Amino acid sequence: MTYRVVVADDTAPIRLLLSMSLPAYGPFEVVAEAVDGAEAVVKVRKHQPDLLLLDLSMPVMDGLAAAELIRTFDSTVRIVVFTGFEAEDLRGRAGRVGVSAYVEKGIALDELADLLGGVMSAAARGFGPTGDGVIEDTG
Amino acid sequence: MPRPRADASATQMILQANDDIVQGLAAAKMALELGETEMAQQAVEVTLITAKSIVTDLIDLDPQHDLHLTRSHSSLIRR
Repeated sequence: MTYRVVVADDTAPIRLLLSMSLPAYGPFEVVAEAVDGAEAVVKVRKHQPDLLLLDLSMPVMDGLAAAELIRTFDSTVRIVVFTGFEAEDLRGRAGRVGVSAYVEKGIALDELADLLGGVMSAAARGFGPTGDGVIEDTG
Repeated sequence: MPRPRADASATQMILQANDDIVQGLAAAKMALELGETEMAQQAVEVTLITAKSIVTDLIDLDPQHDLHLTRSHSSLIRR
């Protein structure tokens, strides 16, 4: 089983490095990249991925607004926030808009892949996209 | 005594600068993990330029404010 992933991040090298590393460290295929929140919404609607790896601070539309919009038409895609912010406030807000996990940038790539695998395993076991909110937390 | 609150534009600038630096360092770390040393070096160089520009931008935002170069603590970078 390979999980289809959309990566949304305004930093080009991060998109490239995630696209290189995720298939190397786990059962993931990056099917599309998005450079901002608005494009993330479009790419999720178009590609219907299993997982969206979502930066928070992006131009045009931020990650939280994108997640909220995505939840209006897709209740199953797992959304994992991948951000440099560690603010407790943001972690709570991410949970409320249907995010499965909040991951701080700087995590080792193999750990990130393990964590994403855990999110997808929870999905396979029948847990909803959000469960009771944020189910994983690297902060 | 309550701490003075930064105005919204300064806060926004600091948040954005912080994100730029974290993004750059995160990219460098990821590149090193993948053995992409050239990409890592490039990310560090861009991040260094970004970090240096923060003070300039903040001073531009409030040119009347006196610049104090005394640190509240020593640099966290150690050998």
